[in-house]
Amino acid sequence: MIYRNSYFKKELRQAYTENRTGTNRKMAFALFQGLISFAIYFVLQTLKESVLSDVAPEIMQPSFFSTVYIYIHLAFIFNTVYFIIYYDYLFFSEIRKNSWYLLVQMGYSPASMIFSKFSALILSVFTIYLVGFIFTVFLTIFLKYPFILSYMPSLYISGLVDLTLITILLMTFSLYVKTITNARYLSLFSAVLIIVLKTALGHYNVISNRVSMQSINNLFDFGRSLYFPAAAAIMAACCIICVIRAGNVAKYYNLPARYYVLPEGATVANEDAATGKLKLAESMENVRHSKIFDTVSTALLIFLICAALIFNVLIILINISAPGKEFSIKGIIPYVFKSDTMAPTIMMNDLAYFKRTDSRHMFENGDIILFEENNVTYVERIIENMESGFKVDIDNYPPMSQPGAMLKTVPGKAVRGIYVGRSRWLGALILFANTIVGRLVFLLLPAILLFYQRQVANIYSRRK
Amino acid sequence: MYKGYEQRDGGISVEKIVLMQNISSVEHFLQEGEVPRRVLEDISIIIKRSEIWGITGGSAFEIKLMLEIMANIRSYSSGRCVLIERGMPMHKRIILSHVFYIGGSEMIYDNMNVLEFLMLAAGKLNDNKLELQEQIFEFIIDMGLGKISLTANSMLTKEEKAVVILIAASYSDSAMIIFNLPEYEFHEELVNSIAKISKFIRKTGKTLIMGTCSSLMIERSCSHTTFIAGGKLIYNGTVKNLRLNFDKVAVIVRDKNLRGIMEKLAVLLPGHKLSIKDGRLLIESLTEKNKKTGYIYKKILETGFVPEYIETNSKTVQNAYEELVLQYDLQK
Repeated sequence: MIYRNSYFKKELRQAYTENRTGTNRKMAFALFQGLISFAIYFVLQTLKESVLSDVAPEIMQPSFFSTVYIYIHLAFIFNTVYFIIYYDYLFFSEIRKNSWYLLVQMGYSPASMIFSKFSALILSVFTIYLVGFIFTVFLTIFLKYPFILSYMPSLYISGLVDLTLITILLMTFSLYVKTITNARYLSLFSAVLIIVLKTALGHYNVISNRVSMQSINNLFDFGRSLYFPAAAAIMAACCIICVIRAGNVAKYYNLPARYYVLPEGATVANEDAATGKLKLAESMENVRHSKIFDTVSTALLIFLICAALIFNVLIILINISAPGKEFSIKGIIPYVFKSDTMAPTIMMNDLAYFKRTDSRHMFENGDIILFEENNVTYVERIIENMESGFKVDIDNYPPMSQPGAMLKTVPGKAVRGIYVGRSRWLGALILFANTIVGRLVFLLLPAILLFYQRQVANIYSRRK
Repeated sequence: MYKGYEQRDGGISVEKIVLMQNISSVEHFLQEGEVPRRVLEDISIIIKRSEIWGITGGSAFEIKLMLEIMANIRSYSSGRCVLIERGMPMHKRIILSHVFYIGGSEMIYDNMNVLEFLMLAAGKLNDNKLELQEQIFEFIIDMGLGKISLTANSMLTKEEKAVVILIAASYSDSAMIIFNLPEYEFHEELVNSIAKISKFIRKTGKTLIMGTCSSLMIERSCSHTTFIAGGKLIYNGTVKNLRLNFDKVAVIVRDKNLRGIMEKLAVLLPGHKLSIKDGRLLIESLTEKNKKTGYIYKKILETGFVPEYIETNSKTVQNAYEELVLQYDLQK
């Protein structure tokens, strides 16, 4: 086999040891993204009767728009993770490791390497994104939703701009950040920054609107959102910085941030040329910073694990609640409402809170109460306060049902609690936690992290 | 062999590749309870074309710093440093086409194998890839590195990576190659490979300057050497001279009864220094006149003992440096 790799071909291969493997992995990554988007769409469909349908209808609709909308966002997240993992291979950090020094000495031109690296990365990102996009559309065809071509170009371009922006941003940052750990934190920060920028400039309002996305011109309508011009300006500035800075850095041999091979117990001080005074040359600041980051990330991880586990315990307790044995926290009974009979006060799958009451409690007309009848728990509104109890009824009779069918007289001793509030998001979260994927996320993952945290940490530190 | 590379020397025909005169470093060592001292002080050295130098010493930091100054990577406080008779740029760390500096092994690409990486590195030298690959492959095999030629770079040790980079450097146009890795520990097989690469470098008219703490490396690869102790050069010259002048042991004797032999020989060999070290009796001639080993052998036989093992000392760099450091410490 004759090795004819140019620098561009080497860059196209990315982190892999063979060109063919590089291409295959990139394609696999694209298909994986498409498949995961599709899977997430299905998981979201299980949460259809929750707050999500009201808040984010764009991802819940039976339409190509929803699957593709999920894909363009997921591609952004997955690519960011990919960039964080393979940061060393993808960005300009190789200049800091003096890989370019060697090539420059061997006759390579820095300008052509900058161009090759940049175009290879952009080409790879675009290809992966396009294949994933097509695959998502292909998978959605099986759902037999009506195919509307007009919003496809808008969605495609919207996702592409996000990916290009984060790629160029990370390329630029890689020329300034000295340690790989900081670079990874910065990658995460860049992704968050783009999301904040999109929210602040109203871009989400444009892309989440199925009607406005049917015309590609709306993306470029600056009256609707300034995200595109802002992204274009950032990208242009970053490209200029990249070319100048990369060309500059490539002219120099890069020394490691710290002195090495120092004799035991010795530190080094540099003589100031002007004053002749000695100044400490090495600082422990970098080490201290990375320790702070490590502590914060470990604390955050522990918090997330604990929160997930506590949440699971809560769900189990709510699920096993039975009439007469309702689970309560400080006198509050959490109750997952499984119908829309009390809409709009309590919506389907909301987590409603009821304050535990006793026989001395004074109820008023209009109060919503939790009561028990024939070993079944009901939630209805008091419409009349009687001596023998309360007359109650539901707020919302489903179509085709007989109004007044749920009118009941409830004795005072059957009342368990009075409605004090609800949480729509916690209700959706509980609904999700009860799905298979939810169980995996909230129970299995924290359990693995809890019991195998040392092994996970070892893998992480080895990679670092 | 290696057609087309014998004459490549970057078009540089100067003789003095490095001239350092009274160089003192900006860096000072600070140690608790001790007065700060310059890491390097009053360093003077001349390195000529086609020489292979081994810069060694007691502290890897001192060695590393000296070669960094030489490569225009760090600035110096005072003195004069001239590279290939052209001077030294004001801008530090700037890439100089005539200096190929190797200060670490990270510059290699991990997602390639050795041969592939060298093909990429040398890609601009020959458009005929088939011919180039043949030459490089042959070269790797000749250097004794055939077994790693198709190994992924990520699987190599940092020392092996450094040798691969040295091969790439030997193909470059740079007139001087600085291999500054005193903190690395090269095993014998790699030392032999470096020795062969250094021969090739010398043949192409280039100069190789190695920073190393390995005496074996200097012995096998270098024509010249220098030793840094306490920030100063305490030896500066050829390896041959070092071995002959400082490794004074003429004969080594091994036997169960070394004490008995030593007592008898002390009387028979005046003008000689006898000492027992690591289960060996070392015999040194203190005067020029007594240097002949035949004379010492004769005297050993006169003791009436027949030692289990006698050998003429082959004069090693390690022994020479030990003696050199001993003398330096005594002078201090």
